[in-house]
Amino acid sequence: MTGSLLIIAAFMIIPLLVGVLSARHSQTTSEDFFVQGRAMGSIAVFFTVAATWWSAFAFLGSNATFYTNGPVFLTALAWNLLFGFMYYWVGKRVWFLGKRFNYLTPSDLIGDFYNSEALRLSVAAITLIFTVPYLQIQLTGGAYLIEVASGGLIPFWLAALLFYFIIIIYVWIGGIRAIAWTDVIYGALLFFGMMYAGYYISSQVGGPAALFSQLQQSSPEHLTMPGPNGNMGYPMWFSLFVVTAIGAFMGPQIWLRMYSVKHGKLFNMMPFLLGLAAFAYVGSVLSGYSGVILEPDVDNPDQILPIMLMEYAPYLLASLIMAAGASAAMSTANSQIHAVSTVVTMDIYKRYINRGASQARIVTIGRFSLVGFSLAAYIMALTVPGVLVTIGIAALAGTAQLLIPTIGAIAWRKAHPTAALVSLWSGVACVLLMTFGPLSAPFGFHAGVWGLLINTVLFVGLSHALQRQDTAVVERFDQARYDYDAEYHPERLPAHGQESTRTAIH
Amino acid sequence: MKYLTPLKLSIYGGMLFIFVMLESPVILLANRIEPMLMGIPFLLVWNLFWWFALTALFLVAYLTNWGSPTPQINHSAKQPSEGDTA
Repeated sequence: MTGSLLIIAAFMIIPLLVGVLSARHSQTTSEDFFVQGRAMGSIAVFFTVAATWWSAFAFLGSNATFYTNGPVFLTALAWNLLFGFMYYWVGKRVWFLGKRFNYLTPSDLIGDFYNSEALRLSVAAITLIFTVPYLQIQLTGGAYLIEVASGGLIPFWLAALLFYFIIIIYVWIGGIRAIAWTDVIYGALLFFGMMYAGYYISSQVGGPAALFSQLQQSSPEHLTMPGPNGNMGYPMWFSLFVVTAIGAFMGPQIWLRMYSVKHGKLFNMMPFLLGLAAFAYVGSVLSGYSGVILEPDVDNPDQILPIMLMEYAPYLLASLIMAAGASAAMSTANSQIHAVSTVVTMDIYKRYINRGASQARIVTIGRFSLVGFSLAAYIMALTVPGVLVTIGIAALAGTAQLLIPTIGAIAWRKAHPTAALVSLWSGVACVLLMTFGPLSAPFGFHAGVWGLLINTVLFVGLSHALQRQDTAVVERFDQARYDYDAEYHPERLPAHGQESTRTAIH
Repeated sequence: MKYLTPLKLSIYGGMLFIFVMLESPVILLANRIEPMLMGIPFLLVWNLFWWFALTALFLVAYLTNWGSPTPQINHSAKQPSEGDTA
């Protein structure tokens, strides 16, 4: 038990030290606090994007889904690849525009391109409303793991409190730089933990081949869709692919990790690196399926991995792997807290309350926002019950709706503000009505998929029907897109291979 | 569509094809346990195979600058914006 407590203490203290050390490089500007002065290098970018993207949803939720619902979570391999591709194709354009026009939040880009305060506020509201529940599940998952790893000596409420206390300290001091540095540690622990847990737990039933052979005999429905409960077929397979990848990608925490990048070329290799990292899900396949053989009667599926570790692994190893799981939660939670505080500070405080705020004042407001949102998420974690994957998907379905106006802003000059506003809220309303309201999602596809469909149709249709009047804004973005192509895709220019004058890309 | 160089077309075409293999109803053809390969169910093998193929394609894309010629000029200097926020 002493060894486990030491592991937990190290897990808490080492990132704290790293975060504090990183703060020595910080400057007292809002751009440094929120996006590291747009100078984040390749290693930090990869680890902070990957560790932020991989959350308690990935570490605990994946095991729980294989355990309860069969193979539907295998679609995670594809959604990681989609996420990686979007980080390249969308992210690089967002980064370029962010660098050119000094954006810090999603609202900055969308509000600026569409020249609309209503859209600016809408985007801020959607990012805040849908990020906080996702933040809550990180805390729930991470604190639960710490509670189990300590053998109950650290109760859930205290583990959650410690969790946020540490995050607040290093983010308060170092901003996104501290997060990126700690995410290198969290990311390495997370991938090790997922893989090794799968290897170790499956060895208890004779290894992967023996595991699948036993499962084929005892519960073959776990190995094919629609799974043992009969409700996780192709519609959910496709829905998870779309909603998870797009929803997480559109979260404000990932936006900040687009704006923070130092060089455009870093985006080119991220699809490969993020795709490669997805192999860690094989660990979850093995852990979750081993649970079906070893512990078939667990009430809360989110607890299957910790229960098996405590039952079958040496205590120290179990604690180390659970610390890795808590890393998944912490590395997402720290980024989300920081991101929502950025949105509140820049999109609400600076824009509507104190336009002339000094850099120091902005950073201070950002820090107090950290504390406020941490407290809100802490209270929710203690009072709102729920299964990690269920809450996570609902939250992701909301933020996913931001993709449509974003693509319009980065790639389509005809994209119209009214179309963006109407379609965005229609998509969100669809998600809410089908998730919490009287409507049910047709054909088994998730509400987020229907929301995106309605969102897209309305956006394209209305943008074609309406005409933008603010040509100066449209021209400014045309010029920026032209310059982007000139720098990264010269083959798209009208006179490729020759010097060409500026031509709008329509 | 002149800007779609053969290499770029191959990369994006290959990517689309693999996503279709993984996420369209084609996946239902692979939704079976047998034949197992090295003791691994066919659905898992199918997913791992296409995951590997697309990851490798992303590596090729990176090494070939995603099918675009190497850029010669730099236009990324900042310019002020009406919605300047930082």
